[in-house]
Amino acid sequence: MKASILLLILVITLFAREDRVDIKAQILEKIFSNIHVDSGVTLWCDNKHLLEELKKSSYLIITDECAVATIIVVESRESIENDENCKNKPIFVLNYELLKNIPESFGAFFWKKGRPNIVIIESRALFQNIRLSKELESYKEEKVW
Amino acid sequence: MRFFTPLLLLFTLGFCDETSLDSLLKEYKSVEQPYHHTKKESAGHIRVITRSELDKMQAYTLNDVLKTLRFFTLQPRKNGMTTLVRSGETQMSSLPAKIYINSHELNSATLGNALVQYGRMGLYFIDYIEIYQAGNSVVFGNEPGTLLIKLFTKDPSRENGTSIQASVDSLSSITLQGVDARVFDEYSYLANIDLKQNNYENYTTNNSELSRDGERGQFYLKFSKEDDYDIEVGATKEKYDIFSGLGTATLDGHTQTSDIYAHITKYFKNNLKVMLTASYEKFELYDKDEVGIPISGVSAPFPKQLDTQISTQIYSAIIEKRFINENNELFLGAQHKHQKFGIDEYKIDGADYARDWGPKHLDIYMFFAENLYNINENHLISLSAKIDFYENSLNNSSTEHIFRAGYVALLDEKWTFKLFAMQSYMYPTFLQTTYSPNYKINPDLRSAESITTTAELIYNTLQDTIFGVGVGRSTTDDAIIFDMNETNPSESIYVNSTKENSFEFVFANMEHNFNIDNKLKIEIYRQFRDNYYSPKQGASIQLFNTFGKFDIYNELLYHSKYTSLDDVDIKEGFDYSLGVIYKLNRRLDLKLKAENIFDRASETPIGDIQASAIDRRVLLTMEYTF
Repeated sequence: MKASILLLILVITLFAREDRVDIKAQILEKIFSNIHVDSGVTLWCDNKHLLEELKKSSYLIITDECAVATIIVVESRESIENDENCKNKPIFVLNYELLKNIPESFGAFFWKKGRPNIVIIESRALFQNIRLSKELESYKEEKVW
Repeated sequence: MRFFTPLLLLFTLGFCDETSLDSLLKEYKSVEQPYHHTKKESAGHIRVITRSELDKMQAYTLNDVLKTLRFFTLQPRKNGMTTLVRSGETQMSSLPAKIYINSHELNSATLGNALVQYGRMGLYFIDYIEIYQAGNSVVFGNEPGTLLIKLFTKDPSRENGTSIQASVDSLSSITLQGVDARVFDEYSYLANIDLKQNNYENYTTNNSELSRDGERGQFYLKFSKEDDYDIEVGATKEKYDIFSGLGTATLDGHTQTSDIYAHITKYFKNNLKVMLTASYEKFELYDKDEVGIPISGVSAPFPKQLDTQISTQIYSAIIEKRFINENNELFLGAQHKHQKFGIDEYKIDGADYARDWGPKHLDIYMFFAENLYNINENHLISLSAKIDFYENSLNNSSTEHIFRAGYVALLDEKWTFKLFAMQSYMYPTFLQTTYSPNYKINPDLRSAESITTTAELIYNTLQDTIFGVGVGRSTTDDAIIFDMNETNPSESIYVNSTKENSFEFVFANMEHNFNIDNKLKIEIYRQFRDNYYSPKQGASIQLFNTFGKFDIYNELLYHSKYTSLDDVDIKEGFDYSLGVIYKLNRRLDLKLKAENIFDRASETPIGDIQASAIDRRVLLTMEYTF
């Protein structure tokens, strides 16, 4: 562990943009373990690194195929808009702008004002028969800002 | 020490199945703090002030942060501005402090001290601040500094929106601030506007009303293409009442400064970076005095009015390259800086007055290198060198050197040790060699040569508490000192001291994190030198708390009593401030802050009065996020 700490001192600027996927995956795991759909939650994500990290979850079922998923997690619209297999599925987005642009999206995990935020649009979740545990109560919003 | 934090948090997260989502978000925010990627432990004794801390502190201006720095006291100046004074020294002592916004140095050739010019700068567009004290790494480029303040702007990809903030205070000051930041594919921008009407307590002396009220405006824009380039443009304008002025019975007057700059950073492959900067500054002083304004070369009766205006143009080009090879990193850099100084107006009693001025052009050619080497997994050595060639318009040239060695050791998982030794120099400023509104200039000043050695030992209990203790010694040959002429102050002049100047210092601090929302910071310090003309010791206590929707901040700053250069005894200062923030909802925060509650902040004698840089006031602020 010490070696990795000191290497941080040396090459610290190299990784200035690197995202901490592991913790991000834990937050998503926590969110989706509090979300329920009739057919059970099976997740697919368009970010390969995040998908691999999510596979370590002991709670969630993760798939490599969008077609098999019951909920899809996306950070880019392009990754799903030309794929018929991804149509008409509940979508959770990783960019707040996508929540405005994708009507099927019911929730978002994103950065705003220097803080990570979670938002669940209650009406969109209800419309897609998505049930939420109490843990997510404080993240509900009536509409997209 | 702080680089332990993300690893500890990760370790904690391994056992956090039962952790609430809110806690996970806070921990995610903490490990994703961008300062983990920018701060350089090998660059000196570093203190980081995060955005979360700035928010809780309700630090609206740079001075709100500077006043908490160890070894320094924030003092008001005769001309209505403020400055930082190092323990024991006076406002006329040379203090090479550097302020950067990202990689752009905020130049202050005109005023000779960036802390004077930018102390009231709004921080709404700043994400976090890194402060390096007591000798700094050469990799930051530019002329050397002993106090380096790096301001990093908010990241548009994390800001993602528009926020505005409005403040009013009990002295009728008003502040309006706005930030807008967006990302469009690979492009992003960050824009900031900041407008202030600053009011302060007035004083009366010699039948004169002393005011330092003023206005300030600031604009900043950063446009970036990811991994390709940043274009930054900034502008500031501020105007303040003259306060006590340069005489003894001021009737009217003001100081006005303005500056504008453009800075381009281009990133190439293989860690190559090129930066180009152009900046322009202007300073105007108008002073009218009932008795007279002593001016160098003018015999009594002294003129009753002084109008002067000066300006500086600065152009800079920097190229930097890093070579990273397994356990070694070599940094190479070169810079050319051209400074052109102009005395646009100098009038006494309304008529042009000819004085002899010093060199008005200065070219600096700088070459710098630093090597970081891991001897083994626990020990890091840094070696730096910088060669600077100075040439001014009087064809005086000099070659200056900086050599620096550093050692950082992780003795075990709890103990960290840092040792730095630096041989550096301090080149005289334009205000010392070329122009002064009232006292004599000295074009023949030479650089001061200094050697600074510092050591710091840090102990992390691994149970939320960190202790630190540091010592240091600095010696200066040819120190640039202000030679005060007691009988005729306007004939005072900066000279190279014939004696070796030295001082020693010691500090100790503690940070205890009760949990991720609540922490306590305590710091004490003391300087040791022959004479003290400002507080020689001080302490600070900062308590950050969050209870539900409330953020609460307590701050107590202590500065010891002292006797000023003009023999005025000043009592010790106790500056206690309290801030409360109520988060009404996702969009709206209400903030209340009381500064210098006991009206006991450290004071500075100015003429017949004693004034503090921090007035007692209450601020009410509303922040709205769209």
